[in-house]
Amino acid sequence: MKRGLKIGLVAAGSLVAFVAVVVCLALWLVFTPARLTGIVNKAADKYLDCEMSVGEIDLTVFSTFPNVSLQLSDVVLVNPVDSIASDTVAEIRHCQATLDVKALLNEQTVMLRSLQLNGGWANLYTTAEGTANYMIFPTDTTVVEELPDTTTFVIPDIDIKEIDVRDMRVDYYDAMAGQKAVIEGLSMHVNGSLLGEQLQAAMKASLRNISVTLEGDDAMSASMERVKLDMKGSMKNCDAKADVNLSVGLIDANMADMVAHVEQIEWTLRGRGQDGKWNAATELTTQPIAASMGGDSPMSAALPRVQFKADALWDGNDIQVAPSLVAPDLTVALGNEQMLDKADIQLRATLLTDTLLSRVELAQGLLALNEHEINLKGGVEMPDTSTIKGNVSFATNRCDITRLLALVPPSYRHLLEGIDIRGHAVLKGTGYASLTGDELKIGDVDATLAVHGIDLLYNDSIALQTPRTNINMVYNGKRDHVSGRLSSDALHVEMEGLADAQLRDVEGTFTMKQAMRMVDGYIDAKATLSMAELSAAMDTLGLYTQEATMDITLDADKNSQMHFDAALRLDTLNAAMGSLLAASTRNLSVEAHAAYDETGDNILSQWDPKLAVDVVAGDVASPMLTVPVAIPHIQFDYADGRFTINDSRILLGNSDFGLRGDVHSIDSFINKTGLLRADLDFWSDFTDVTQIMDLVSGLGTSETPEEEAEENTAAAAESSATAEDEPFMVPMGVDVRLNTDIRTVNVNGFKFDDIGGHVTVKDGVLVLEEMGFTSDAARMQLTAMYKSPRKKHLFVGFDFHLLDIEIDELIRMVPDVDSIIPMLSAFDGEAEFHLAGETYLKSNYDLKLSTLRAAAAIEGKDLVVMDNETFSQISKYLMFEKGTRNVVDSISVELTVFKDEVDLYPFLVSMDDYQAVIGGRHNINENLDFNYHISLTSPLRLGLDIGGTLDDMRFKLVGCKYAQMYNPEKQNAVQARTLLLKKIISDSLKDNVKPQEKR
Amino acid sequence: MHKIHEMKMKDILRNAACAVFALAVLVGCIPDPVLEPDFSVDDIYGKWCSGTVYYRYDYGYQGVTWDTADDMSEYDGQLFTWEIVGYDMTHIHIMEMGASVPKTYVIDELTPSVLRYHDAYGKSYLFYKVGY
Repeated sequence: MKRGLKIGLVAAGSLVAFVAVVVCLALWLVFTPARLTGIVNKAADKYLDCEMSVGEIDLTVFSTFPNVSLQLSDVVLVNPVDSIASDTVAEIRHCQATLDVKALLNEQTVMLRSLQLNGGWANLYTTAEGTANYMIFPTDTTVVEELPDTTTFVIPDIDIKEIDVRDMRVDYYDAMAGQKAVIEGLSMHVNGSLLGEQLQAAMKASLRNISVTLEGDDAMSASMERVKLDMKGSMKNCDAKADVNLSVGLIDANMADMVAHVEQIEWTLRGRGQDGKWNAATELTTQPIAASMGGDSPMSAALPRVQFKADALWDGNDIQVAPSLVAPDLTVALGNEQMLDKADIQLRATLLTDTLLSRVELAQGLLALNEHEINLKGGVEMPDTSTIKGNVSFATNRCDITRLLALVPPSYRHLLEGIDIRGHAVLKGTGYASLTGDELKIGDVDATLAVHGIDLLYNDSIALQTPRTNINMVYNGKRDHVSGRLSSDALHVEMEGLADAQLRDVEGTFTMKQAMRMVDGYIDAKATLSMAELSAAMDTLGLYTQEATMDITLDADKNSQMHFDAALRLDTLNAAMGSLLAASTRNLSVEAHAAYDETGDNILSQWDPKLAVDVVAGDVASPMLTVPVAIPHIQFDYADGRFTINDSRILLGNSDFGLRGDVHSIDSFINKTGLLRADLDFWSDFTDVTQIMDLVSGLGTSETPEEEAEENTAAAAESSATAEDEPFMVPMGVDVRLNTDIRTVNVNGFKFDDIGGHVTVKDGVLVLEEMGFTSDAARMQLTAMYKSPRKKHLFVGFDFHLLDIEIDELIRMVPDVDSIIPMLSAFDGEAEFHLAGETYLKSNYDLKLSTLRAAAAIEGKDLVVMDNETFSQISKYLMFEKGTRNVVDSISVELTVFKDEVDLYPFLVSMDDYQAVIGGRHNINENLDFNYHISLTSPLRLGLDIGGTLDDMRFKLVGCKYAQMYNPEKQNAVQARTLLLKKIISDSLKDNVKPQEKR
Repeated sequence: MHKIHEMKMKDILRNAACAVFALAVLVGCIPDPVLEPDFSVDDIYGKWCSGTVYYRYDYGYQGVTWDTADDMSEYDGQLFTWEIVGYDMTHIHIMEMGASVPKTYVIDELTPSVLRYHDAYGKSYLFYKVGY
């Protein structure tokens, strides 16, 4: 080293040392603690409106060079306020402020480089009147005229190297607001600078404990421990970044009967801005959280961990936020009921909005509870300040229904009682709504529920299975229109022991117009249901149909009167009742309409139903039916209390017939104010009565075991030794008229043609009225009556006319005639036969003989007397000549039956030259004994009594009993009266004959 | 011989017939007298019983009959009209279908309590009045 340089350096060092010594001496002499105290007190007087005392004041130069540091100890601020016990506002044990000497010397500005507060406390208090003890800064009361600020605002440079606060305590109490807060162990370290357009700042803060208490109606208290906050940020030009970390060791909060406890919270925020684009990411993680709420419905929740994350991006116009929440093992209890048990909650969303928040779009959202997820999309926009529009679409994942229902809280499980369901379901839909002012408008809503592999069992009795079924509901808000659709590959419904139904390819639709008007009682709804196949069984009933379609319309008018329309169409219908009955149809159509009026007296008048049914190609089969039954066509309808068969065609074995007409007064019948009336036409090309009688014989006599037991009990009670059958009981309360038109009837091999007449059933009386018909043997008319006033008291009456009948055919057709008029079989030829009778019957149809009444009249001409043994006997006794022409010119026979007596009124027989009068009685008993008399009146008079029985006839010549019977001039009064009675009988019978076209 | 016998027989019969005819003509020319009965027809009104058989004769020549052996009651009784001329009584049973069944009897005794009659075949009936 050069010597000159050495000397220079020593000289300079000495100069510096000298200057330093001089400065130190100056500071020691000039800035003594006493002098500094005075300076500070003066400053305090100027800037503080309270008393301040400082323990010690020291000035440090060298340790903070080139800055100077002012250190104060035991700084106490005193501001006495009435009603506040303590007048000390704050006490700081050590305070150090470091100033920039260069700025102080060169620019005469006080630039604070650092501020340290170490130890101390503050007692901030506001009285109930609103006086605060911390209002220690004087208020400038001078009035300054405000002049327009024409200067350019320039943010001064700020460069704070350090603000350091350590171990501070703050007590705050606002008696007016009832608020109290205590902060303990507050430490904070802040530094930052704003130099031109460059900003940087950092803060670290921590506190040991903070507690906040609110008094009054909304009393609450909260405390946090071990709070740490670390923030730093910087900005240069348009680039900026910020990082925030917050951790809280323990949080306890109480509000009313709510308690919350969080073990640990960690929160971070990272923000970056570059080239006008900003993004931020935040994450909040909590350790175990427990919360509870008392009251009438105590609730508690606990979860071990919550993680919340959110990413945000702002490009100057649009903001995108993507929050996510994961909360595993969430347990929620309501009272003693566990609502959720370790459920996993997830929320994810991607939200787009703009700076003004005029719209929020949910680009993607997920809400998950355990494995059950709902994916959401939608948005909310505010086109103006009074309108909010929103739309949402949602779709669940494929949910296991069993596991989903397991989430139903126990208190709601009763709603699912008895339900055991397995399967999966997917629900998805869209919706739109707007709110303008207070007016909420629901736009279009579309929801679809798709279920797969459903196996439902309800109450162990009703089961439903479907491999795949979709249910769709759509609401059109603009048209206020609801529509729905149901489609199912297959449905199987089973009601244990009762019914079983299987449906294939089921399609259904549903529409409802002006759905929101339903609250006003307005309904306009339609529904359709179709299926490719339906197979059903109920008890012994079975049903199978193809291509079934049902349309239903329901509407209510302004008066809230409900109208109901339904139409059912089937392509094929097969029905069976066990092995007893089977029925099928190729085509079935049913249309129904009803209008509901609650003021109606009965269900018919309340609903006023209208019905139209059309059956094509029906078939009926039964083991009880020994012949096939076919219904080629039947069409009937019901309206306004009138049931009308418009057309029908029925094939029963050999028979075919149709039915047409009305059944009316149904309302009166139901109200029990009148008879059910019917007027029906029955027509047939061919009716085989014999076959039908064989068919229906015995029907209705079978009894169930219960009925049989009941009948046996009743029979025992009656101590009746006679076993009686169930007779046919004519319905009461009905008035049915059947107008018959039958072309040909077969009865026991006899053919009758052109049968016309009426069958009426009126209030327990069955009448065959003026049934006219013709056969090869005769023209006939029949009127018959059957009444059943009591089971054991039945009435049958008839009025039967055979016109132009061959006598042998008559006997063949009515064999009983031969036993009533034994001699009739002796004649051959054409006659007229009139027969009327009545009797009461027992329940087994046995005659009550005491009630038997009958009358008959037979008229014939040119009858041939058969040449048989009886005739030979009679000829012998009456000494007929051989070769006598056995042709009877005419006979007119009248006979009556009264109880067991058959009285044959004397009748005249003219044969060749012979005339005879025959009369007598025979009895309806075991022997059929009789007592007849024949009076030969020409050519000679001779009487013959024929008595005994058919097997043992006795002949006896006697006097001529009826010699003058047919001689008006000579007949006696008895004979005249007898003939009168004959006329009465004959006329009373013939009076009932109605004109009938002769064949 | 046989033919002669036959002719004689025919003659006898013819003569006998002529005699019977002449007698009958004579008898027939005599009108039958209506005998005045020795009973009061008014006694017929009321309810008569014979065993289980009942007849009720009403004013207006109406009546009903029933037999309790056949589970019949007065309410179920069957209608008839009746007429008494001299000793002759006629019942005309009116069937519901309209036809008539006449029955004629000869009254043997009619008192306020007893009614006895018979028909042309010798069948007798005895009734006791049991009410009105």
